[in-house]
Amino acid sequence: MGRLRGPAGWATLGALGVGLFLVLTAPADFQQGNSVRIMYVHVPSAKMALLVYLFITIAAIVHLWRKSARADLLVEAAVPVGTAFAAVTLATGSIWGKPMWGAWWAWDARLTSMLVLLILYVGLAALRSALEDPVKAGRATSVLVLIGAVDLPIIHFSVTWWRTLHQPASFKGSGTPAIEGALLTPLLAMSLAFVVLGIYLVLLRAGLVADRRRLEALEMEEPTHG
Amino acid sequence: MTILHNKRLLLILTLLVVVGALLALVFTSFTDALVYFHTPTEIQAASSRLDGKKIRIGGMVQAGSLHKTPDTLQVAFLVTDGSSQLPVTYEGMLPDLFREGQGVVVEGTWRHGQPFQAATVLAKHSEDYMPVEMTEAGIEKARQSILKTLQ
Amino acid sequence: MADYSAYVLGAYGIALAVYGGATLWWRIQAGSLRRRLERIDDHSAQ
Repeated sequence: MGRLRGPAGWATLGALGVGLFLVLTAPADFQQGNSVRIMYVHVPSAKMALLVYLFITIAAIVHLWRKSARADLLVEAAVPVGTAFAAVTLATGSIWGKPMWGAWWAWDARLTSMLVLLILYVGLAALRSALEDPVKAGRATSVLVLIGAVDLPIIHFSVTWWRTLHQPASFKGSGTPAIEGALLTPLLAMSLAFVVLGIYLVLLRAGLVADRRRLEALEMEEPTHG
Repeated sequence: MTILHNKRLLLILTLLVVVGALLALVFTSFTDALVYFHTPTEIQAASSRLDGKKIRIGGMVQAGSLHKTPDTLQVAFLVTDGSSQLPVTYEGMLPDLFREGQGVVVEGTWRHGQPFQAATVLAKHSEDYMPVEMTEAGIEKARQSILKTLQ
Repeated sequence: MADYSAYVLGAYGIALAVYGGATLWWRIQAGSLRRRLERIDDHSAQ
């Protein structure tokens, strides 16, 4: 995995460069003007916040089922990455909402369920650090991951299940997306760039967590080094 | 032995507190605010029961219904869901997406038999994104999308 | 149409601070952990 980190880092820089160039050259929206450019960082961040949680859920299942220490390592590595994506989603959404909706925040189903996801991410890291025994901490974290996974479909379908202030999805699975080509291209480019960024950050943290665990194991063996 | 028990207790307590807090957040905010706004049709049907209650009405600003009082921030308009309309008055700055024929959510206290005085006006954006040069087509498509979300 | 550059810059500024800051912090952490591990490896090799 460590060998992939370098290429993933360069790929992130390249993809972000292309994405940002397309964002700068995209036309303004017919109603939102230039504020539509916030969407190009908000939507990919939101997709990644959910995608990272989905990845963590799969890792947690493997961890609990197979007692895999590697899967537990991936859970620990990915949680702060998801936290960053969720935090940026809420912050950029808020900045867009102020001029467009007329409010920084609204307690509608979409915004509330996204806030729950951020709290979940923070709670997962807090739970792990609160427990001293690393094996028990890992198991408790994975259990909470599975409980929290209920929030994923709630976030995704909130805009169709309940009336929200947040706009519904522009991609409906079938039919043409409600975003015109000139505005769609930068969104797709930024989404791709964020997927690569997410992979890079998870790889970076996986290496870091693996090293930390090795160090802790070594210090257990030879207390003189501690 | 007691240390082991304490740790297990801590684990269970942390789990309970986190899960409890999450469920509380989900339920308190979702039972009442499951639906962010009600349509003019729903409000009119429950008009007397809602008297004195804080409510949100969502719909479209009816085209041609917007009246601004000159030299003030006073506005009056109709909110429609396609089948019924409600008169709304408001004093203050309007959000940038506020437009005739576009989505809106108004917040305030309902007074049975009186025109609704909004304390807050929020613009509701449709899921349509189009370049500036496509304005005409865009406005019509956005209008259809907003009406669909009101059903 | 109003000028939204302050909002756009604010949004991208926050994104840069969070993603850039996180990347930098984790790279620094990864580097220092690597060095500590190498020091232990050198020590045990002697």
